Amino acid sequence: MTLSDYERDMEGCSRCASCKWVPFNQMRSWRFAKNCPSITRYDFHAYSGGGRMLMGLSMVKGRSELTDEVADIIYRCQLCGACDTACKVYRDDIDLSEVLLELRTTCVEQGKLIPEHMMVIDSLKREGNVLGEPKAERGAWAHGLPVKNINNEKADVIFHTGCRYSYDRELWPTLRGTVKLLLSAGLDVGIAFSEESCCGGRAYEMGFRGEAQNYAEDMLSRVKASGAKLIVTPCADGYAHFRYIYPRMGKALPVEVMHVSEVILHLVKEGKLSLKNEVPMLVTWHDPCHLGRMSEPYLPEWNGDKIMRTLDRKRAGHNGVYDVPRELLKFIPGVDLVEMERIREWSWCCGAGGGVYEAYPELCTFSALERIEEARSTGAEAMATSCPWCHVAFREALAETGDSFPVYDILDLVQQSVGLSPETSEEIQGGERK
Amino acid sequence: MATVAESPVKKRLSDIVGSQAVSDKPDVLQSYAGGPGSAPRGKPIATVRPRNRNEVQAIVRLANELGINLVPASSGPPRFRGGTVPCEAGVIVDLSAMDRIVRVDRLNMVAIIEPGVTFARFKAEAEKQQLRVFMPLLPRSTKSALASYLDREPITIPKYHWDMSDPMLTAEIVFGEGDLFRTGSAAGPGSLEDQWKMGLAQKNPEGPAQTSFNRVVQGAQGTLGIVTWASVKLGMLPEIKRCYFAQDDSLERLVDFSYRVHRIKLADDFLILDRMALASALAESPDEIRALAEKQAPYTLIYCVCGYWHFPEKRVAYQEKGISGIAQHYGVRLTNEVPGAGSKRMSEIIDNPSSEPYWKLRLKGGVREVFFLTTMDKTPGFIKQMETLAEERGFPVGDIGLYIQPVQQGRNCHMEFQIYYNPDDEPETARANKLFKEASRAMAGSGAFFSRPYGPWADIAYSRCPDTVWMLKEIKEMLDPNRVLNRGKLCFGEEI
Amino acid sequence: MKQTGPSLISPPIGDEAYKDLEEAVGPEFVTREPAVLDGYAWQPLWNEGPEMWVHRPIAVVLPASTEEVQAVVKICNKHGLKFKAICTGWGALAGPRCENVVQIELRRMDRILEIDEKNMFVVVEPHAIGGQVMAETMRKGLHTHIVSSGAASSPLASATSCVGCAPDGTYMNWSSRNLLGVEWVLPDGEVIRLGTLGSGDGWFCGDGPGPSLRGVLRGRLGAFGGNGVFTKCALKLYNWPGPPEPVPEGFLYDTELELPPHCKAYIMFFPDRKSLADATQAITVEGIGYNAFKPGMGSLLTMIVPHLLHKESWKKAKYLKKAIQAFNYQFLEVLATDSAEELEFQEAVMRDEVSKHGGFMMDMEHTGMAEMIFWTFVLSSNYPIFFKAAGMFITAYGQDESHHSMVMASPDGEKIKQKWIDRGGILDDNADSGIHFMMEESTVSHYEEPIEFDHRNPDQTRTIKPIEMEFTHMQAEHCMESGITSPVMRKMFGPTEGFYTKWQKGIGNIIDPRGCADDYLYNAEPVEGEPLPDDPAILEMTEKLADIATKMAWTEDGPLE
Repeated sequence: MTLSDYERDMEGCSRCASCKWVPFNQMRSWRFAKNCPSITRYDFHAYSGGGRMLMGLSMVKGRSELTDEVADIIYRCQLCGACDTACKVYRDDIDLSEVLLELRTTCVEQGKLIPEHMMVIDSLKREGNVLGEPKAERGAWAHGLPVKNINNEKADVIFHTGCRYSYDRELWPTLRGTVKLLLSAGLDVGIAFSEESCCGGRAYEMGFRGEAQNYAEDMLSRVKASGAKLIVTPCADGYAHFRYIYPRMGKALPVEVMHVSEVILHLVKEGKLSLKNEVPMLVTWHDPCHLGRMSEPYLPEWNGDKIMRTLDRKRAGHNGVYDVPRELLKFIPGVDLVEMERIREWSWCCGAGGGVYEAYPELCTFSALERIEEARSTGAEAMATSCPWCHVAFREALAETGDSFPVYDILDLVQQSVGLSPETSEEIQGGERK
Repeated sequence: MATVAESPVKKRLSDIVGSQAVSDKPDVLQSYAGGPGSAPRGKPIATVRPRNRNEVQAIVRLANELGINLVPASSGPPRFRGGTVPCEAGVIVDLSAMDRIVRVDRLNMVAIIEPGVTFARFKAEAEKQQLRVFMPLLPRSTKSALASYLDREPITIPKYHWDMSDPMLTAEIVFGEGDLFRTGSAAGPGSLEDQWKMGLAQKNPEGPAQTSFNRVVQGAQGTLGIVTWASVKLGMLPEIKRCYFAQDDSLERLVDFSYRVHRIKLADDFLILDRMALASALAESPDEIRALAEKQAPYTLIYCVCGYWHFPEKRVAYQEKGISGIAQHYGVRLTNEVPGAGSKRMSEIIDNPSSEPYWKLRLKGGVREVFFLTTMDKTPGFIKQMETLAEERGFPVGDIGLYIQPVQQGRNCHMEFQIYYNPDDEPETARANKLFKEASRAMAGSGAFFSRPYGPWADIAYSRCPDTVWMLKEIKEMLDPNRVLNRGKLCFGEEI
Repeated sequence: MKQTGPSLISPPIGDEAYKDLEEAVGPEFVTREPAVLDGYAWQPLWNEGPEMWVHRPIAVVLPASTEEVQAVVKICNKHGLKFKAICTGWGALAGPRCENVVQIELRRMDRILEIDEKNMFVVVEPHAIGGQVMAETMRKGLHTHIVSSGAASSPLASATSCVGCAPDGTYMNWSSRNLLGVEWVLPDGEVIRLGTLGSGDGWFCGDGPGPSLRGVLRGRLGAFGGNGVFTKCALKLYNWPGPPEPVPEGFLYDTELELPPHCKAYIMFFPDRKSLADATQAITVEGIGYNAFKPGMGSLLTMIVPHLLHKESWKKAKYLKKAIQAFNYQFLEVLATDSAEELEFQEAVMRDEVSKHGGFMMDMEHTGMAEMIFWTFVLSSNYPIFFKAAGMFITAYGQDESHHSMVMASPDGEKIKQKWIDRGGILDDNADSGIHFMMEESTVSHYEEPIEFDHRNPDQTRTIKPIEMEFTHMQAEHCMESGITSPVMRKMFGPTEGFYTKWQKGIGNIIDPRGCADDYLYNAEPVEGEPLPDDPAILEMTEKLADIATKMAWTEDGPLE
């Protein structure tokens, strides 16, 4: 596909502005009515989903060129998909998110690259992760855990850790605790240690499709070789990319993919995990874009006029993972859930996606702080989520402003309820040494 | 000095309307003088009574040719506010002979009336078709309905006062150089007859296109154009109408009650009078008025509940129940009667023009009105202000009446103080005038909005909005470049 | 002048003017990047004929305050540039319509400044959208009129500048009638405040002292940005008897939320058009309905079964079409009342009129659609659905007068539509999609004819201009003023409406002495000698329009009697 292939989508824009707002049925206040961090921060129409499409249309029609400024606008977007969901309330014939992805690819093809993204790509090429960390240390987090190494052992379940969890030591207690829970519930779990690579989704979002393709192939071959029946990941990004971007690239994984929260809920329901301890807390839930609307599975391309596309072939964000974490929270004694205004398909992005975390930290912080304010407005004591990138975006935004507001990974709350104490850094380091 | 009779003006006017329709008799001219508020700087030099729009156009064109000041008048005497008193010597264009009720359209609940149609006639005609005329409170019997609507006088039924321009819809206007214009959907295409054939009824007040000159001529006191007919909204004539009262020492309580009733559109007629104004409406002689006033609570809220053409009982029942619940909530006591009037009598009184003598003159023969727009919650503050001023100036507070009329569906209100005085008593007249002036100025400073700025209010009102004055003067220049229409009124005098 | 195609792109803005703009609002709030500017030039809705672009602005600025708007307008005056404000930007009316336009995007002025619960008004800035205003006012038991472009539109823009009616009009009036105090930046950069606001008395009244400048500010249509920038205004609010924070599930057809107490949705069917007109007039004058309107069956089809209308089998489904047509005389009533007794009264009146006219009515709860109908209308979340079936639509006719004149005009509209459906020029929605609703409990009734087409299909876009012209002709035949106007149409039909253009132009000269506002849709003169399009359908209609306009032109003595 090229940008020109989306000409009808782009021309389809009626400029109704729905893409800038939460779906109108769900608009509950003046304060939290907007859905798009980018247009909210920068205000020119071009920073909205529709506005970006019109820049694309302008270029395809030969009315304007892809300049540095235009590329910059294209990149100042988390690709969170909120615009797409809002647009699709009314339209069957526009795939806004796909146009946004295509714009990124066009930028890359035309050499409109930004250094921060290049660093990520270099890191991927060099070390197989987006964080510039040594490939050799990718499995360090798991030292001492009785997990299989799928490079030389068969395992039913591949635990795909993802870049952020693998290298962010602050997240390791969460991660290790989660793996312990899976093991304690009897799952046959294996990881790839230093052989695990980035899923490649971030490269895809940044417009580097070739790179993404390479990583998808790598993942595909590893999975095939492993003989595993299930991939479980705690990384919402990876989850979304396995479900949507891989099949879109023709690299669908041949096994079921589950987010770890789905697995945990399953185990709780089967009685294999007992959430017995009170975790007294009024908590609000942040739906990560990649666990929610962006994880909606890929549907085959519609050939022909999308006006005639049937609803079962339209990705509108409804089939993301929304109920699982909420159900899981209900299982935790003492946890009370209070919802924010922007949730589920119309959730507000944490700010980290689409290469924004790497290239535009100010936009990322803006988005994260907006979400924290929304969380606070509910009266909740804490916010829970289930994406390491969201977690980091909130953590760093709070640190930057000197503010504090507790943000939990849902896996932390589960572990507390199970009675699993988080490991200290000394304990983890001890594990590493082993 | 040449008399009018000898001047070319009378002859030229007579050429247009016939000599019998032109007069310069002093007694005739005197009848256009207003009350004490008029303070005329100029005098009428003649009156001319056109019978149709063509004659109005010809008069206006003549005025342009000869530089005559034209002062349109539609209602009969007595006049109070000086709207028809020339600021400069001028010719009164008395429109009372244009008195056709052009059309009463039952289906569309709309009528077209000329300026000379009084409320009494209009009402009688509309009621033949089961339609109700929206009226101000107790207009004088000679009051032109169209003039009242043009002046944005408040009607007694806030529920149907959707906009300040109500109930006026479209209009035919002769602008200052004699150009004819029609506003809203009456503008065309097509004549009225053509439009009627297509089922149109001159109902849309907005337009044509991107202007609404009906709004511009409303409140203009004839300074921007002469309206030769207007279409106006009518209501359904109620099959059941029940009038109720709430008397209270506390205006605040009635105000709260009013807000809620209007929020859910429960009542039809709805107004508040103080004891003096109520007694003046009910009784005729000064003694009776004073005696009756003594028996009243300080404030009386009067409202009517109506049922129309479908299930009138059901409508009345749910509205009565709703209002009763609100009254209970706010601690307001509802009654079927007040001293001097039961439901039926009150209903009859407010459904008709004032009987003679005009209700505001009954107590003492003279009245100075201070009226303006404000919001209901601010009304108690203005009352305190008036009482303080009256006491300080030695004017009996008991000789001041009060009328509060919610407008725009209760979003704001016309607040009217009636300063009663004996015009034959010079010191009292002077005191009343002094209070009138000081109260007007003081209340403007407290947020009273003199939206219909007669006489001295023009200075008060326009000194507070220089930008509005600028634009109004420009509009005047466009519509009446030779300043033939009611020269010197509003902000169009030299001093503003 | 109006241009077409690539020539719609003006030469770039000069550096000096651009620098001035940057100083006025801050460099990060000005752009002249072509692709960004094109986001304001793509305006396929209500554009003229086949054109989907309007003039590309030479710069876009984002002022944050009235003072900044004034500064921008003054800079335009200084440099001989035009300006045009845009709010939510729904349609070509909001876009630049001539060369050298600085587009003033009001997105940063988006506050709700005050909700006066007692006196029932809200004070808003331009970019507080309908959905936001509704959400905040409903918390206080109040609701606001939302124009039928829906919750994304700006109530301020609608009230000050652009037509403004909707099915909620029977209870909540139409936009121009809901305007109270206004703050208005004139095209010379000066500010005027109307009514009580101008006198420092608050927002509660927009008229006076003396003559009301609301009549200068706008008429039936509004000046579409041609007379300055409106920066704040107060709008009337109305009672909302439902819950303060309704939270339905779903977005549109999947909407689920119980109806509030004393609320209902009904649909009534009548045997013929006259019965529909008579009965619905009688019902509405009794003050019934919170949202009420006559949907076209065709419009419903475009929403519910959009794919069907594109299929060959639909074109041939003669009897199905007839069967659907039989249900066209319908009227939808969304009732929201304050008591069981009031609801009962409203239902009784409806039942009575339906029965008198040989119709029948259905409680929508029996169809399972009550919740969806109720909430999507009350929350105005349904309107963009008109884009669904074909991608684009226009609405022709667009008039407001007596109910019968509107309802009884629709067969003529259907004839025009059917002709163009038969030619394959527009979506086949059975041609019976005329929409009617009433304002102010029937003071005026509205007629609008939605025409759906794919603006990406040249065979369809080229039909739009002639269709609009045919409807304009029909309007004249029905003695209705022409709708949204171009300079050519204004010039042609001004004389049929009392030469209103003379007075409107006079106002323009007062407020815009240097001709700085983009007044293409307000006062601009047509360009002399501009060649007519070579489309025979347009040429034919141009002649017919000129002919009827000449016949209906006023003389000095008024219209021909």
